[in-house]
Formats: sequence, C-alpha cells, structure tokens
Amino acid sequence: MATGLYPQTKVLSKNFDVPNAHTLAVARPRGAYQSLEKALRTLTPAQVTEEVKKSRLRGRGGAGFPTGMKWSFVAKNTGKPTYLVMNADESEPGAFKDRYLMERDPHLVLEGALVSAYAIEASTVYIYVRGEYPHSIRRLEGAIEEARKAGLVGKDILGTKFSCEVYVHPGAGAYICGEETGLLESLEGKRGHPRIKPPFPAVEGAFRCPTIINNVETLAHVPWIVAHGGEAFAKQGLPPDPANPRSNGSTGTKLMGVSGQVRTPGLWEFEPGITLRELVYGYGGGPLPGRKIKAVIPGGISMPVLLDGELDVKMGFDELVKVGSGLGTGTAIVMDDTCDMVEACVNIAHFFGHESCGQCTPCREGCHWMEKVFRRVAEGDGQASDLDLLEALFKGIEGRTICFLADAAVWPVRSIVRKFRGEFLAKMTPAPTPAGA
Amino acid sequence: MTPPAIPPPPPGSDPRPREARDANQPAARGTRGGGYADAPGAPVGVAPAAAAPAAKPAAAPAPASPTDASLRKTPAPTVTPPVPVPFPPDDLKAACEALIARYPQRVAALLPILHLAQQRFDGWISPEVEAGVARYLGVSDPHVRGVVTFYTMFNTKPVGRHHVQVCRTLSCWLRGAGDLTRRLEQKTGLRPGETDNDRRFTVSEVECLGLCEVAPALFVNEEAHVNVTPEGLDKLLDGLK
Repeated sequence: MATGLYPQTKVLSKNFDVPNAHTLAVARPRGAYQSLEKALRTLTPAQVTEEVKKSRLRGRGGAGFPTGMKWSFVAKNTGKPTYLVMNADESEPGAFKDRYLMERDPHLVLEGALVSAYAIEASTVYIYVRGEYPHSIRRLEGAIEEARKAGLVGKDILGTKFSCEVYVHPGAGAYICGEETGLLESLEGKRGHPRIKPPFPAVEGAFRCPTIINNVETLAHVPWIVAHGGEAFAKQGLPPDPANPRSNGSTGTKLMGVSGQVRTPGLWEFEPGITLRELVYGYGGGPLPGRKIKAVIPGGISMPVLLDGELDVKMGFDELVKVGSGLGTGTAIVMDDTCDMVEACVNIAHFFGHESCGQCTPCREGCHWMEKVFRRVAEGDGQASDLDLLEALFKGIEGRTICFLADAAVWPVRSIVRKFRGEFLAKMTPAPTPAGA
Repeated sequence: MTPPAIPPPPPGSDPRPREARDANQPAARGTRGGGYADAPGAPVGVAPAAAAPAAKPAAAPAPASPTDASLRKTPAPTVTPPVPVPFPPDDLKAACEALIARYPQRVAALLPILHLAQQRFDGWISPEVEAGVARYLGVSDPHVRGVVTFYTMFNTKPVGRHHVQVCRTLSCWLRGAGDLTRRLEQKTGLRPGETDNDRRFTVSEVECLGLCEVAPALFVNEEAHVNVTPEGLDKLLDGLK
C-alpha cells in the first residue's frame, strides 16, 4: 500500500523468529518468568485478577468474554481444589495462532498459565492440546520439564509458598472439544459431549471442582499485563465504545492471520484497529494473480462472510459484530472468484456435520440435511424451493442446542446463501411446469 | 476394580447370545461382527458373519420385504466378548502409572493411555485392547468403545504403515486439497478409509489439521507435509515403502 502498512506490535510474537526461543536458555534472558517472579513476590492473587480486569483483556478463543470477570466467578471456599485448564484445542478451521505460540514460545505460554493459576489460586493446570499438534505437545512437555528443573513448576515455585503442577493432556481429534464443557468431558476421559449450563465451570467444572478455562493466547497476554499493568494494556488497541455501556473494546494486541486464496498467507500481531482490507490485501498480499477476492470470513470458519466491498471494517470484537459478522479467532479465510460458493457451503456443512457430537437432534440431523441440500444444488438437482427449505433449516438449528456448534454451523452458510443467492439460483433446475401446460 | 463377570447361563436356558434370541433384532445389527469380520487381521474374539449357515441369500430368492418368519430363520452371527489383552504391557507400565497419577480420577487418563496403546499395538485399537484398557482403568468396555469411536485419531481398523491423511477443510480445500485426494486415489487405488492388502498405505480425508497458512496440508502418520502439490505428492508416495 502506498501509505505503508499498518504497524505490527510484537508482544506475544516477539520470540517467534528468535532461534531456539523454545528453550529456557534462550527464553529466560529474554524476559521469561520475570512476571511470574513479580506476581509471586509482590502481588496477591486478588491484585493480579484486578490488573487483568483493568486491562479489559477479552478471551481470544472466539467468544471474547472478559477474562478478569470470568476469573472473578470462581467459587471460593468450597473445600475443593480449583483447576485452571488451558484450551489449546485450536480446532477452529482457519485458526493456527495458538500453534505458533506453543511451538515457538512455549515458555511464554507456560508463564501465562502459572501466573493465571496463581491469580485464581489453582494448584493444577491442564493444557488440553489437540492431538493433531504433536509438535506443540512435545514443545510444551519439553518446556515444562525444563521449568521444573529450574524450580518454576512444581512445589514451592521460586522459593515461595505457591505450588503448581502443569500437565499436557492430548486430545484425539474432535472439534467439539474446543467447546469448554466438551473439553472438560474429554479431560475426564469421556466422549466430548458439552454439558448443560448452569452450573458453569467456574462453579463446577473439571472433576466437579471450580475450573477456569482460557484460550492459549488469552493466558499468554497475562505476563505482559502483570509486568506493565492493566491500564497500559487497556491503552492499546480499540477502547470501549462510549455509547455502549456493555462494550469492552478490543484492548491489547491480537494475533491475526490470513489463509485461503491470497498470495502470502501468514500470521502477524497488531493492536486491533487494522482493517480487514489492510490485513487481507496488505499483509495477506491480496488475491492470487489474475483473480479477485469474493468473500472473506474474518475469524475461523464459524463467522458470517463479508464481501469484498465490506472489508473496510476494523478488526475488533464490537466493530465486526456491527457489520453482522464477528472477530472469532481473528484468522481470516479468503475466497476468490474461482471459488464456487455452493461448493464452499457443501464443504462447510460437511465439516459441521462430521464434527457434531450428536447429543442434540437439531445439530446432529440438521447439519447433514444442510449438506445434502447444498450438495444437490451443487450437482444441479436443486429446486427454487430449496432456498426456503434452507432458511427453515437454519431456523430449526440455530439456538436450539446445548452448545454453540450448531450456531457456528448456521452462521457462515446462511450468510453465503443470502449474499450469493444468484449463484444458488443459477444452479437450480427451473420449477417443473404443471402437467399439460 | 474389574467389573463383575457375566454369570454363565443357567442349565436348560437358551445358550445363544442375547442378540440371537431376539427375533426382532436384525442380524448383524448392533454387533461388532459386520464391522470387523472383513478387516485384515480381524480380531479372534469375533466369529465372522459369513460362518453363519443361513447367510446365503442365493439358496432361495430373497423376499422383497422380510417377514417376521424370515427374520426368525436368519441366525445372528455368534458374538463372543473380546478376550482382553493384558494391559498395560510391561514396557508401558511406568508410563501408564505416571499418567494416571496426574488426575484425581483414574479414568481421566483414558485418552493419553489410548494414544500409547495405539502406538504400541500396531497403530489401531482392537476390541481386545479396548477391553484390556477398560479393565485397567476400571470402566466398562462400552465406555472405552464409546471414547475410541468418538475421536477420529483412534483407528478402529488396522491401518497401513503409512497413514496418509489429507486435510479437506475450507482453507486446504480452497488451495487444492481436492486435487490431492484425487491424485492419492489414482496413485494408491484406495478410496478414503481404505487400506491396501500389503498394508503399505491407508488413505483418509480428515478435518482441519491447523496448518491453514501452509495449505494444502497432509499428515503421514504424525509427520506434517505442507504446501503439497500433486507432483510433490507423487514424489512423497514413491519414497514411502
């Protein structure tokens, strides 16, 4: 771009290009575990939570829930242990940000987990890593071993009274285990069926004990917040919308990625405020030679698509909701003019049908029905009434299930059906004329 | 913590398993017979469905819609519970105990232990291994069966030495995963889910592997290959013996 690219702010990604940053020998001189030391020696758990609240840090797993508020829900004085579970089941298609963190800076991830465990007074952390990330699992386990030898994990960390064990728990291939209660079931050695809430995990989570579940990127922000204070974090990025008292803004920095049909897919870190267009055209390199960008899903696969004309929106939680989509994981998927949008719907609906856990009928049956209808339209067997049928299906699925998988299954395909109606109609057989006409 | 053994049937009662006695139960439905009998290295505990004497529709023209009578004449395959393998084997004992110690409940170690078991027992989890793990962790066989079948990374059939898993989800699909799958089918003669006779390859289509920025991507066993072209795939396959 002529005016220069939106600047990157490397906080989480500061060690991504440093050789051997996954080892303690390289990471510690670069600042790893200083925040842990500061928190353990100078702050109380409540003070750490207070800083995180002030920072307005929002969950980076897709939902954007304020992290400090989540922590304050932990049931106290229950006589049971409290658990911290790090959600590293990054199963959202299009998302690969947590893999970068775990592979390239596992000590930052670990430090984030330990400081957060101190804040919620947990003595055990489980890091639930998806089974498809064997390299991340090895890196994390290596980091935990190194940290244990250095007195940073285990009993009496850094000579203080705080003890905390960290374990890696491997998943085995199930999208639904990224849903926090599905993850808990999986952690307990069961099928990953999401639970009915309430009770929320902060009251009754893993092993029926109070549990906090946070995304990898969320917890990786905590060391910086402890080092520089919550207010400094809140000054970065986008402030809350003053007109909306419930707005929390998009503070701090955010890992953002681009994949799909662009020249240079990749991952970068910005203060929210970069527009989706700058991300896709500037950092993503724009469309492949001779092609045009047709649609972009801003975060993962589960959000509604935006057209090329709608890309001048800032990458922030509230900003994207205003244009009818969502930040999600902040990793965009780009489709260009060679992409058949009906086939894309087949692909997306197949994914959700395959990954539905099967508990709730609207999702278990509905996702496959959607796929069947999309497939028949794609194969030229569709009828004009299929668009109404699809709308009826969307209505029957969305909001009628235990967890959000069903909603996530509807949002992208519904937005495609509505925004690319012409492509669907062009493939449809004209309605049969009445006999004798 | 082993579950109580099923008592032997009292003398004079129908010795056939429950499924065979229920006239309304279609043959081979809800049993493991159909799923395993045709797989190479089929587990010993399951009698193949073909051994059932009346499974020959050629002897009489099959009725268009089976009546109750014809259902009664079709004996269900004999299913005996799998004989659990001794679990854990000596070389895994220490690792399994260490895993169990991480959790307040024994069964929570199920997923990591199944990963170990799959590696140790030839790349798949047989009913015998399931039963062994179930005894070890003090849960029922169906609990373990439910978990094994829920997660896509656990194989319920024997797999080849090289398990080629092509990501088919959106980012990879947009960058030509479909071409890779087609080339893979042509090269190996296998459709997704199939294994060749000498167990060199198993071919699978899988959902997102989290390698979206370097799509299209595939795994051979646990090894990731990224930015794969059809030509690159040819080379890769030729190198896998």
